[in-house]
Amino acid sequence: MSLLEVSSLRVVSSDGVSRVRDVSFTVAPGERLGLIGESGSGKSLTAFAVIGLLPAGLKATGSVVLDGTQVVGAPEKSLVPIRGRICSFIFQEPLTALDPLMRLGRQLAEPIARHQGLRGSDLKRAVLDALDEVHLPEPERIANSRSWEISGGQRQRVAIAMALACRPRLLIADEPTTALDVTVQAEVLALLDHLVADREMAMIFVSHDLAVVSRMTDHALVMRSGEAVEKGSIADLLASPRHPYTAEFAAGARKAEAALAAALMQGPAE
Amino acid sequence: MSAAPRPETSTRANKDGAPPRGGPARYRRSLVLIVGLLLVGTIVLAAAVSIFWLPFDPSDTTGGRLEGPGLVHWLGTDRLGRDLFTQVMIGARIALVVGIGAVGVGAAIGIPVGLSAAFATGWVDDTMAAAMDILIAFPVLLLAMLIVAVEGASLVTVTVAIGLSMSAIVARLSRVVAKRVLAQQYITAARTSGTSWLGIVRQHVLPNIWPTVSVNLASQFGIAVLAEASLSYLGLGAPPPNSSWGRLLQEAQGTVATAPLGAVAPGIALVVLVIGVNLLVDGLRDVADPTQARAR
Repeated sequence: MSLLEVSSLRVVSSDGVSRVRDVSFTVAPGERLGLIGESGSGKSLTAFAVIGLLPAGLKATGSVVLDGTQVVGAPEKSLVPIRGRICSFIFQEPLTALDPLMRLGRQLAEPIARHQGLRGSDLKRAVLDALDEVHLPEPERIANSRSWEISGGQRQRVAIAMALACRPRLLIADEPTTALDVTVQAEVLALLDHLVADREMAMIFVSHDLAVVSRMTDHALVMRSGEAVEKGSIADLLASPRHPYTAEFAAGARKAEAALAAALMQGPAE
Repeated sequence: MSAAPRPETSTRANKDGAPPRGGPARYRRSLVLIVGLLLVGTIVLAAAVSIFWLPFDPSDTTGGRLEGPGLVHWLGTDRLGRDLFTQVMIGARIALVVGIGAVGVGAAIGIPVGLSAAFATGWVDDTMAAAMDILIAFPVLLLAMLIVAVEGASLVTVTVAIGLSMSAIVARLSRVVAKRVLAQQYITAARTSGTSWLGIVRQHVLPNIWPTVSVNLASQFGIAVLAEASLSYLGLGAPPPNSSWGRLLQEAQGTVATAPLGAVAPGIALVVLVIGVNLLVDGLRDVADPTQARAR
């Protein structure tokens, strides 16, 4: 059985505009899928619809079955137990995705305590372990900091630790490295890759960057103005794109890669 | 009070000889806070001491009528021969108790109502917002007078009446600030990790609205103290054995030409407390919000 089964998903705004049209895909346990598209293509909305958290004013129709539960039209009450435990989320901008007033240790402790029923010193140790797992140096110091007191890469690592705290079976990463600079980006991607493989989690990796997606997944769904235009293995998408839009994307990715390779050959520029 | 760390940091900055970070504006702000603390502290001290010790028994009328200030009666006596300093000290206690009580009632009603309104959408939201605006359009004093007139004057009624009247203001502010917090991505992030709405309110919404709401509550305290004095002056406050500043003012009205201190003393005490609270609020506003402190 698939872990996630999305069929004929539509997301309609209150003024009747379809933001996502007739998108279908499945994700098996342990499988990875890339969602590729430019901004406004509906890839993030699709990701949010999976977990039943569309922004106010947007409504999903169709079917999203997550671990046997129908998400579309389900009441909040039946979705809360799924979130975090079956499926969790990593956001693009970790600074806004973390509460600025709460110490990171406490923020991380919340889902851990809820999921594993730990308290006191056991909970504290679990929090430090979780920070250690995402390769954060000085977990004690990070746990006592607030989100704006640490660097962007460290913040995203904390966010990853939070997303993994409830041992989800599906991780949705919504442009998790876009807000980071290139070297940090590579480290965070490597970390994600390793953690997801280690725990045999399924992953949906949302990005506008084909090069980044190709490092994380084998298969991708290309989206454009709310529609899924092409689906297939990344190698095929790059080598023989069937849809002109995919071809554009692939060309862009190759160009970026070539530029990056050239820059690396010349050594550090400027 | 939670303001305690502030003066420390400012003195440290001065000791170093370097100009405080942020220049003269920041220096002025901590000065405002210190002056506010001193003024409020004076009144709080008087109220605290009055619990354990008073120069005279408040019902002791052996002092002679309308005595001037002297070594025995520091501020003189009133027309019944009671020690004025004693009365003003008791007045401090009443002002603080009513002020804190009213703010407590206002917060206990206003914050939950404001939070529920923040979660409401559509016509429910519009109706709640309109209801709050209508209540706010009523002056606090008028609404409190109405409640006291119906319920009869007592210390508790006055406190609850003032608190009820200010709860609409607290509710409206809580609603606006909570709506802004609810739109933040960390709320969505908390929801994706499976936190229930109740957990989100407790862990994220309340702590994040608190800096703004608490500063407002502090400034409401000043308004509550003034409202209590006004109600007492009008005879709608706590009944006679309680020597509220408002009632002292009213009692001294007839003899203000011959013994002006009877009106001046409670008047000054009132001004000291209200100005002190306002300065304190001004200073606290900057300390209360760490995200704003970061911006400086």
